[in-house]
Formats: sequence, structure tokens, C-alpha cells
Amino acid sequence: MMNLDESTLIAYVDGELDSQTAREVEAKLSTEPEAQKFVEQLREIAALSRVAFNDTLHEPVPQHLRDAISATLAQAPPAVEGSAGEGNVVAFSPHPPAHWRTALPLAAAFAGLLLGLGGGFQYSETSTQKAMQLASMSMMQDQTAMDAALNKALEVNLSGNELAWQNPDSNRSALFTPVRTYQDKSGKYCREYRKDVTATGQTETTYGLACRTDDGTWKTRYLILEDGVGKPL
Amino acid sequence: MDARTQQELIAILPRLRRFALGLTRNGAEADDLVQAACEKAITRIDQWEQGTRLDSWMFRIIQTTHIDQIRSQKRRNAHLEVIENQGEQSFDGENAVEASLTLDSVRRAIYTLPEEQRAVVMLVSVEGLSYKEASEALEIPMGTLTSRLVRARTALARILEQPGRGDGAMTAHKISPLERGAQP
Repeated sequence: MMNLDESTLIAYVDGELDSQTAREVEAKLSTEPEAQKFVEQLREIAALSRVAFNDTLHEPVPQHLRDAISATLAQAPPAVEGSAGEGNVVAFSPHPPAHWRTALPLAAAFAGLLLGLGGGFQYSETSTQKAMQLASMSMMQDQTAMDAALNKALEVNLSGNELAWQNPDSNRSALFTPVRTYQDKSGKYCREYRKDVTATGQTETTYGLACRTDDGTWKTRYLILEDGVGKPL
Repeated sequence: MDARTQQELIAILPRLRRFALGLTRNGAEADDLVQAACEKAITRIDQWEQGTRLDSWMFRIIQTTHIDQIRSQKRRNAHLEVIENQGEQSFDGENAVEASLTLDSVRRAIYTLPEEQRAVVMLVSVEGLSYKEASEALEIPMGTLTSRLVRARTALARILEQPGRGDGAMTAHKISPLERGAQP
């Protein structure tokens, strides 16, 4: 019988166990709440670690660094034809398993949503229906992407700093700006934010109040349209 | 360096900067480190094994360059222990609520780990490399990699453990050296 030691649980969370061992771990986990708690904690920290360093990944590489590297490249002896192994270079590919490994629960919700849409799509008969399905699918995808962008803005942006999102394909864009941060009595964080969504040339501004849930997603509790009419959710 | 490799090097720069930030804990130092590592790579491209991953090779150069830099720095300032906990300028000078946001506390927890454990966490948890890829990139045996990873992950779990779990965000002010496995 295998032992649920820390290294096994860590390898399990990292997706490094073979499927047989992983199943055994899962079976044992159901009877060991302490180990289960540790696994949840490992998952949460892994997901947050990834997001915590995301800014570097998405910000532009500073010009001085690019310039310095270009200068070194220019000075370096030119590659000898054939010796550099053209066609032999392994192209960089992101590692999909890593994404699901550390994915936030939000991703699971997206997957479920898209799956649902896919199912509906199969049943549509006419091309008009298909076009409508596609349009609504695109809108749903944008909505999902905007929700994720809003979540990111609330999670990482300081108040007053906007996060821009756009989809050139659908010509929709949005700005998300956290406005103010609160902490309620139980220690939960809530933030006011401003959302400017531009579609077909028209911008709609809304203000919302979102609070952070235990799984790292921000739930909007209150939405205020620009004309000042409050709409509790 | 042929054109394709050059392009690939430019394309992976954001990931190299992220790894370097994890090691140096400081944005400006991270860029200097990436620059030094790229210069090494460009002048020693003949040492790169064709057909292997460029990113893994670059991670290795970044780490060895950083270790060299720390050693020479230590020789120069033997009496100073420099710890830069602010990896990101945007997180300083704001109010206490902002400073205690979750991501910041996780980042700071990672920054408290010893260098070798930090490198492993950055490659496995942040970069998403497999254990095999990470052990190859750092040129360490699999057993060394997993033991560093276990030490790093249990340390992070301890640092970030919160007494009243489930009552809200993981916040900096709740950090306590609580022992894992302690019964209520």
C-alpha cells in the first residue's frame, strides 16, 4: 500500500504520477482530510504562483534590453550556412498540461460553458441558425474573455490602473479600472471598478462592486449603469 | 546564431525575464541578468546542442550566470546580505490593503526561499516544465529536483497557511509559521 507522503502528493498535484498511482492517491485522499487539505493548498499556491509572475510575461520587453541583444547579435559572427541546423530547431511550444495543472477553477467553468455551447451548436439545422449560433458564440466567448480580464484587473491592478482588453476579430474592446479597495469585517476584499465596453463604436460605462471569493474569482455584487440606476445582482 | 534561432530567442524573452525575476527578485537586475545570459548564448551558440530546446538551455545559462553574479557580489560585499523583496515597483507606496493582496504575498513567500529552491519553483510551478524538463534545464538529477521541490512547496504551504481557512483571501497579515498537520 502506498504512502501519502508530501513528495507523493506534490508529484500528484504536478501531474507527475502515472495514471495507476494517481488513481490510488485519489482513492486514499478521500479518507484522509489532512492530505486532502494539503493537496488543495498546493493547488492554490501553484495557481497563484503562476498568476503572480504573469505581469512580466505580458509586459513589453524593455527597449534597452532589446537593443542590447540586437547589438550583440549584430556583432556575433554570422551563422555558417547549413551548420546551424535549419529545420532542426525545436520550436518553442507552450505546455498545455501545465495550464490545466495550475488552472484556476474559473477555467473549469469556461470549459463547461463552451462545451454546453458546442452541444447546442450540433443540433442547429439551418445556416441562419448556425450563423446566429456563431454570433452568439463569439459574443459569449468575448464575454468570457472580458470576465477573465476583469478578474485579472481586480486581482493584480492597483486602484486607478486600467487593464485594456480587445478582440480585433469582433471589434469589441474594454477597459477595466479598479477604483477603490475595501476589506470587510471578515477580511474579504471588495473593489469598486469602472468598466468601459466598446462595441460597434459605442462605449457603455458601468460601475460595479466585486468581492473576492475563496477560489480567487471576483463576484460582482452590484452594478451601476452610467445613468445612475443601481441594479443589484 | 541563425535567423530562426534569433527569432526564437526574441520570442522567449518574456519567459526568460520572468524566470530571471524569480531568481533576482528585482526587475532591473532581472533585465541585466537576461542581457548577460543572452550575450553568453549568442557568443557560445556552438555549445547549444542542436535539436534540444532553446528555452531550457537559456534557463540553464540564466541560472549559472546568476550564481556567478551572486558569488562575485558576495566576495565584494561579504558583510552585506542584500534582500530585495520588491520584485515589482507597482506594488510599493500604495496603501496597506493593496500591499496585502494575495498575489503579492505569494510572490514574497517565493522570494524568501533559498536560491536553488526558487529556481525549481519558477520552472515547475510558474513555467510549467515537467520534472524531467526542469531537471535537464538545471542539470541536476531527478532526485535532487524532487527533494528541492518538496522542501520549497512545504515551506510555501507553511508560510502561506492561514489559521481560519476558507474565510477569505489569503492575505499577508495572516501569514504565520503554523505547523502543518497541527490538530485543532
